Amino acid sequence: MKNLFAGAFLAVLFTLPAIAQQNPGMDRGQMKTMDDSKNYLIEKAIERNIITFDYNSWFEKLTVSNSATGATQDSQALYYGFGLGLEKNWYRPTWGWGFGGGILGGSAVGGEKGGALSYFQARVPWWALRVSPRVFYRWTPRTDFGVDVAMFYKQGKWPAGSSADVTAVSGSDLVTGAFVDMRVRFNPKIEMIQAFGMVYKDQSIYWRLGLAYRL
Amino acid sequence: MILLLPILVLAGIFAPQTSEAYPDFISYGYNSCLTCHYNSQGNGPLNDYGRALFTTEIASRKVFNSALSEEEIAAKSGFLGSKELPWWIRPGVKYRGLYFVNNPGSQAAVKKYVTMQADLNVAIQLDPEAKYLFVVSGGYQPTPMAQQANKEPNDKNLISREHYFRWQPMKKLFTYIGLMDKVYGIRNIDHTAYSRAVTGVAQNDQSDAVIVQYYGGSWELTGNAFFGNIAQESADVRQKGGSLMFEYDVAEKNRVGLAYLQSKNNYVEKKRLEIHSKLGLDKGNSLLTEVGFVQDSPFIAPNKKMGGYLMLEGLYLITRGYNLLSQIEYYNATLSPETPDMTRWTFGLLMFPAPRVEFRTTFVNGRSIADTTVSKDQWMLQAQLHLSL
Repeated sequence: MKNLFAGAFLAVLFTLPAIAQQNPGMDRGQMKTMDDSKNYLIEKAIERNIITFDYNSWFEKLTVSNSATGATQDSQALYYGFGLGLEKNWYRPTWGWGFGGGILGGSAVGGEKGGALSYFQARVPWWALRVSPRVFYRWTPRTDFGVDVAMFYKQGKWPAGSSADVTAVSGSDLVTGAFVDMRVRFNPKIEMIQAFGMVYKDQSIYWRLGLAYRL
Repeated sequence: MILLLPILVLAGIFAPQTSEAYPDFISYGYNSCLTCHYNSQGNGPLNDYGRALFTTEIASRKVFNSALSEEEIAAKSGFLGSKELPWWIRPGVKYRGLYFVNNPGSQAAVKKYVTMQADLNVAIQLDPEAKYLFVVSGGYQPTPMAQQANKEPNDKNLISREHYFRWQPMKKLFTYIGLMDKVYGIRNIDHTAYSRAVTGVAQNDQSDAVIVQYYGGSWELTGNAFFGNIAQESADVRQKGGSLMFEYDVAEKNRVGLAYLQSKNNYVEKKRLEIHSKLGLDKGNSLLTEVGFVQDSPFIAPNKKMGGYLMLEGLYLITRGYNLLSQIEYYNATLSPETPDMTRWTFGLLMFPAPRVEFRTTFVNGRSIADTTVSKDQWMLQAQLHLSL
């Protein structure tokens, strides 16, 4: 998170003043007459590829087991990290859809220091592959509001606890969820991603916050 | 914009109301707070221009007959309806109530209604150009929940929220003396945001002060010397110090700024530094960003560690009077693993269904990430009613 903070600081410091100098776009009335090679706001159908960089965070159930005694205990694991992806979007006059994929990596913290089966680990590394189809409504020429259905193939090994008999398993390797996804374009090249939703089975809230660069 | 001018001229002769004009409204082309507020840093009563803008651009007009023109609607927005008040007086009433449910659905759920503000205010102009102006705003302030069990004699519920004298010696120079909000950062819509709460510029953090502000066309420079709240704080805890804020219009509907604040009382020295951006997108769509650093150093145990915060607030117009609000925040008290990364996402609707009425419904999801424990998310459902008569 400290890196996120530093990154956000630098982003604000150096980018917003610069991108504000660019063509802010037009309203829908003006869009119809514009050359689609220069603007992202045209009414007729276009396709665009974007590169995404985002912060992700979600909870999973962490099941702690002691193979010697047969005892089990449920607690929580919190995953957080960054993702890099490629996404293709098709824009229609008022609606659009897209498909994206990417790789994510980060840390997790989970377990409880108390309880009958004490287990706690921090900074557990993980990585994941993500595919994410989306549909969206073009709220304004610079704002899309839609829904993603994301699927992750996740890998992360939780170390053994106080003894080799105490092990922990978090969620499942395949994570799915549905997210509300809002995109706000600062200019024709850069847009902000704000998405949150529910992770299936674990019923936890997933956050995704990032920037995208339109190719 | 030129179509709005007749409305604004008309509105100038109508009686006023206090209301809310938020920095998010930069997307309507209003970069400076002075456009709408008597206090050029924002907050407090709206001036005639601000009231006209709120009525004719921000609030829904669905409650009015569709045959009415914007000018006729503006004419009904006065404190006494369409009855004109003398030019020298602008009274107002402000009420803000909050109903919230903490951690809904859990055994620890808390439901509560809080009157956050119930104020009377008045602006008195000593001349038609308002070069000399008094503004007083006072009323009810609730005792914070954390202090309700240990309320002290000095904790008052009836307070002056602000009272100041404004003098405009030159066209581009404004000076203020009195009790006012400190000059620092974006006065965004949520006074509980980290950017306001941890920096000490929240709803009830006004300070007796002198403020000088200079407008250089596309930039503003403001200096603030403050001495604590003399009426409400004992001398030893009053934070005395100063702040400086600079804002610059990078482009139309885009303003960037930075501020530094330093103060101390008998026990602790405080330093704050921030940069911010107010970015207007399409009309009614905006993004506010503030990134800052906070250092509180008690004299008994000096502390060099610095905390940091980030605030991203987007306001997206659905239709006139109705907006989607999304606010994302981050705060770490030391910017190190010693203290948790605290994140918060506020999402909901900001509605102005009629002039003088604001209704806000949001959910707040707070998440804390630490190396020492796993905390469940904090949830809050909020509904706010603001009346500005």
